[in-house]
Amino acid sequence: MGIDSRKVRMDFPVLGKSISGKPIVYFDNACQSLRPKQVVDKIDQYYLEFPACGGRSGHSLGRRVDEEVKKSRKTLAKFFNARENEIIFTKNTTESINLIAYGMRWKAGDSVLISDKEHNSNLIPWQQLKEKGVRLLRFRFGDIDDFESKLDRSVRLVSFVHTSNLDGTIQPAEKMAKIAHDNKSPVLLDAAQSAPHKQLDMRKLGVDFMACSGHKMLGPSGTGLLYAKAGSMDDMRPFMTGGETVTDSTYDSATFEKIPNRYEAGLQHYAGIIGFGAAVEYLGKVGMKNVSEHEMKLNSLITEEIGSEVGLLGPMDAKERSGIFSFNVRGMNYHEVAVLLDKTANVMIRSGMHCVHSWFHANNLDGSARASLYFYNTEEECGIFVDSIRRIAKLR
Amino acid sequence: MVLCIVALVVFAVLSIFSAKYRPLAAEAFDCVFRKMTLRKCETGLDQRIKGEIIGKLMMHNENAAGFVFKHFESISFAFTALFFASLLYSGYSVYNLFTLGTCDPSGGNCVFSPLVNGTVANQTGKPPCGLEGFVEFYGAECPHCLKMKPIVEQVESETGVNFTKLEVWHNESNVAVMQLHAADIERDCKFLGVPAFIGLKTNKSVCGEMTADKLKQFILENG
Repeated sequence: MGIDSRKVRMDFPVLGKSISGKPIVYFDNACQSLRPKQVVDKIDQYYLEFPACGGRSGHSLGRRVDEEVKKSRKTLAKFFNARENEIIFTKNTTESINLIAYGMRWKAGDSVLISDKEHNSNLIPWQQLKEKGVRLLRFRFGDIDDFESKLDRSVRLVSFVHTSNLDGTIQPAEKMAKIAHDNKSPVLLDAAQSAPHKQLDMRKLGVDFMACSGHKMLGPSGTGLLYAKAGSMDDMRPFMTGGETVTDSTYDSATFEKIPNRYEAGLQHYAGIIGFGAAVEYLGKVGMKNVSEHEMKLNSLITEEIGSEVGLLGPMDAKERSGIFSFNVRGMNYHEVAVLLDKTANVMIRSGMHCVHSWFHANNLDGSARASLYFYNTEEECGIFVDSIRRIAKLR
Repeated sequence: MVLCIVALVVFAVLSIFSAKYRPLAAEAFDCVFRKMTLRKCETGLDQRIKGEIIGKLMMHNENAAGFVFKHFESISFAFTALFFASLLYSGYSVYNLFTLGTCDPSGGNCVFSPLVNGTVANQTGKPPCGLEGFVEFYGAECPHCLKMKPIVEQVESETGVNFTKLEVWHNESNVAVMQLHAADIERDCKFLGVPAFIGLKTNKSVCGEMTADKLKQFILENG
């Protein structure tokens, strides 16, 4: 069963608004998705009905927070086919990755293996380990042979992006995890762009860690999670310590909490966590298979129309690019294209290097304009986008 | 580059009045600085401004938008050149205003009245801008001036010549104008006082109480 766009869009009040008499066409979902009423209502509910501390206060409001946070963790665990104690709440993918980068006990000579098309969030944390004597190795994105050839005994961690935020291309995470495990290297999957768009099953993928953001998958801003396979973080050093991370303390020492609490320091973003749970609950009802298929259909439609008229980044086959259409209009700067789309047709896309500066520099490219789709986008909106690109291209 | 320079000046001025323009001014400054040091402007400010302008034009006329898009650099350059030219002229005019008492010493195009105090002499020998014909300098409470008032009105109605009347006991600007003619008045009247009548065509003057006939004769000789 496909997606009933009209019905779904009713849940996103912002899509009913217009600017200068024209509807909003939101194609910047890779940056942040819109939020349905159900998520906003859940956030409101926290602030209006039980705005208290979680994990410490025994009164009825505090207990309600605990219940809702637990429920949210359970929903997310189920969504990713994980256990509840494998879900650690963070504020975004970046924090989740840093949790591992600063938590692992590195020694000089260790290596981290990443791809050559990583978001800064999965590049800079590893670069910072250089001062500890940790080397950063690189393989060509999607090139399994190259990936395999770079694996050696020094590789203490393999960390790679699942779906590239730059062009939507996807790496075979399951296969790569198996290869890495054969080398006894644990795997961290940057799923910021795949978790919102396809069903991710942690057991099936077999990765040790997975990082994603709530705000890219209908959740509130400043929410994210780290999936850490049971036992994988037992020996790690908590990135942040303090309240909630310990069960007891003296002037000189502390007894740390069990996971996940050990890694969730201080008062948490309870409204966000609860909203995050509501978001994946909503996604579950829509169906991730439906989400993927819908995005692919829309991306194919756009690609068929203007794929050959613009400079497309990534393969021509839309099925290999998830919901991302990254492009350049010849003779025009990508920022100009983005501003013109916004000004003339309220089509909102992103332009620049999309936090993948390293790849653009290595490939002598300045940047690109990027349209990114989600399940609430429609064929009509794609039509507006295509027509607007053609109108803009005529300016040259 | 040119667009960033214009943006810097415009946003810097707007920043004085509104804080919301300050980040844009800072961005424009960064862009200009980077380009001046032969580095790339990384903020994309110029492209975004260009997009904003072309986008607005597109809403009205796509052909015009296309023309501006294709010649954007040249148009920006022309506007920048015009901007700097007008900036130079403005600076030159302000300099003239403070040193010569008029912003346009070569003609009557000055929109400002002389604002200098009485220390500035009339170095050009030209009338201050906006003044021509005959001028009467008077003091509001001066008894001689009050006596001359009906005589001046009679002469004005009989000759059709009107005096530009400048009060100098309370009005600093008018004092400054009188100072420009101080040498002429002292030469003809042997003192600098009121009422003083001057013909701006000949720079001749006459002072004190007098008959209507004498004032008419003065107009006749200096008109």
